[in-house]
Order: sequence, then C-alpha cells, then structure tokens
Amino acid sequence: MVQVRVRMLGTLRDAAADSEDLALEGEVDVSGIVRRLVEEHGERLAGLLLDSVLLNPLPNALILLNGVEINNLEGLRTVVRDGDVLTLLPIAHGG
Amino acid sequence: MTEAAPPCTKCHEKPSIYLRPYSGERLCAGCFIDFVRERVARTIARFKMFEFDSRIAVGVSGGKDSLNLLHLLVEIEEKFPRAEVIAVSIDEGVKGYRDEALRLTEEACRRLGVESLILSFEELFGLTMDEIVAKTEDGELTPCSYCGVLRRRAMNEAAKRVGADRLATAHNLDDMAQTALLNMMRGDLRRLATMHPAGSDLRGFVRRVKPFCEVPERESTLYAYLKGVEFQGVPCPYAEEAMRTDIRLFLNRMEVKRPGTKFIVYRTALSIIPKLRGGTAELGGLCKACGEPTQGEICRVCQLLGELHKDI
Repeated sequence: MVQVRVRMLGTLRDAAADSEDLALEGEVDVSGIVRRLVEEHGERLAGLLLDSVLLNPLPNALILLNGVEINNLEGLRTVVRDGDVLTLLPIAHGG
Repeated sequence: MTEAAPPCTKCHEKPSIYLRPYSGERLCAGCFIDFVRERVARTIARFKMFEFDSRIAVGVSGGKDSLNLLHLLVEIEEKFPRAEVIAVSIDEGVKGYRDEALRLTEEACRRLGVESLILSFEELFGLTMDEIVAKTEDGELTPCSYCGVLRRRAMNEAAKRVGADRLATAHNLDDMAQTALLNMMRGDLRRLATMHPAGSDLRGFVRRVKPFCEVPERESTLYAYLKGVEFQGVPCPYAEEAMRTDIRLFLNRMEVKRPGTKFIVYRTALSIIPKLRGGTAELGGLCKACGEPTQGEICRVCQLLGELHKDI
C-alpha cells in the first residue's frame, strides 16, 4: 500500500479539496492519480483539470511531485512512491 | 520517495525542478526565479518601456500574473531610486470574485510598501458589473465585451489620477499569442497593431507597457508558487469570451504537442506590427460626449454606457 498526499491550489481546491491523502494499491503513476481524483470529484474537477480533446491535464495544470514539475521527471508516467506529495496548480487564464 | 531530478543546467549544483520544454533547459528553483526576473528586466530594456525616473502604475487585479509583476517591478526598479511603482486596481463590482482579489492585492501592497489606488465601475460609470450583466442578459454582447472596454478606460483613469507616465499590465506570453491569433482570425489589423508590448504615445492615454509579455503563463504559475503568492480560489463567474477561449485551448494543446508554438505566434505578430501603419494605432479626435480620445465621434465607452443607462 502506497500513501500519497495530493494538494490542490487555486480554483481546483474549490472543485475538490485543499489536501487529501490517497491510499493506493500496487504501482501507480501520476496519470493514475489524476484518473482517481476525477472519478472521486466528478465533472467539475474534470472540467478544470482535463483538456477536453487530449483528455490530459498537462495543458491546464502544472503538476509537481515533491516540488519537481513532472515533465522534468517521466511526465504523467512518473511512478509515485510512499510518502510522495503531488501538487496540482491550475494555469487559469486571467490575472 | 521518488528519485531526485537531474541537476540544474545553469548552476550545475542543485537538482532541477523544471524542464523548459521549448529550450531543453532544466532549472533549479533559484535559477528559475532568476531567469524569470532577468527575462522581465531584458524585456523592459529591449522595448525601452521605462525612463530612469518613470512613475509606473501597475495594473493589479489580484491574480497571480499581476501580483508577480508587482513583486518583480518593485525588485527591478529598486536599482532606479528615482522610479516609482504604484498599484492601481479596478473593482468591477463582481461579488465574491473581486472581493477576494482585492484582499490579495491589498495584502501584497502592504507587504511591499507600495502605494495603491482602487477605482470602481460604480463610481466611474454608475453601474457595477453585476448590474450590467443583469441588464444585458438577453443582449448580443458578452459580459467580457463590456468589462474589457470599461476596465481599459478605468485603468487609464486610475493611472492618470496617480500621475503615472506609464501603465504596466501583466499580459503574459499566452495572452499575447491569443490576442495575435484572435485578431488575425477576425481580420482586425488595427487591433493587431495595438498589441505591441512597448505601447505607444497617444494623446489622452498613459502609455501602456507589458513587461511580462515573454513569460509563459505556465512559468508565471510556477513563479507565483515558488514565491508564495496566494492563488485566487474564485474564478470570475462571467469569464467566457467564446473565441478567445477556443484559441486559448487550441494554443495550450499545441504547446504540449509542439513546445515553442506560443513564442512563434507572438514573435510573428511582432514582426508584422511595424508593417501595419507604422506600428501605431492612430486615433481620430476626441469623443463628443466625454472628451476622451476616440476614432469615431462617440467613444465605445459612451456608446455602451448610453445603451446601459437608457432605461434607468
């Protein structure tokens, strides 16, 4: 069992939660966590997080694993480990 | 815990936290922050945005880009003791949304010791944005069409009131690339000509400059996070500019598939602008109703307000 803390900032925290701990079975990558969050929190989070054509969060969000942007690791295929912290930042327009 | 990332390609010491997909550089947090500051400072110098003694009004909405810009300009202008930075904000009157943003702005100004001025749509135009939306629900124009025109006037008015000779706005690379494509797709060459980040000296307008124009929104987001800028949790309830939204989504997808796309669109627009009427937007005269500069007889602000106030 792997425990991962997910932190969501900005408009995402309104659609989901500030922070939540996920218990995961087996080997899970970042895309698996994103899928699980969308399943848990439904359309509102999906609309903010996922690009509707690519069905991928990268155009809309900056994702950091333990403070490192995931494109600097293995992207959405980066495998998470016990104790990791995943931070999701919306790249909302306007500002 | 997941293994450390490769070392920073700039300092070669600390582990990198960010891969810049369009250049292949991997940067640590410190080098990333330095890089953003240097890029903004270079943009200011290249486009000769300020004088050594400019009084700079910074348009601060409370969003991450404008708070970043305020922090950076205060830092950069410290080297120019005769330059001044003042925050100007507009309260459009959108309940819930603007309240949070103004609180974030006030906190930032207090921390940085920056003078600030807030003007509201209500005091300038006699209506809040919430009232405008309620009155125009069945109309053809979107809330953004009203807000954009009125906010532009309000920002200019605020900059004039604080005696500024420059108005710095936090348009980032994404905004610039979207505006370029939007105006090309609409065939609006006049507006394309006015998007130049250096602005231009037009009678009645405080010169508008865009020092953040070469910072991608993704990097602005990371910069804000690393600097501890609080992120707005409430989105504008009226934000829906259909064509711009389509273009934004398209460009974001293209950037993921082909990194560098936004820079190419922006730079292409910059190379076209000088060929359009010398790169400036000429204004005809003064509005017969309010005396502000306009291309026609009555300015767009007075046209919109005339419609809105008709049945009051």
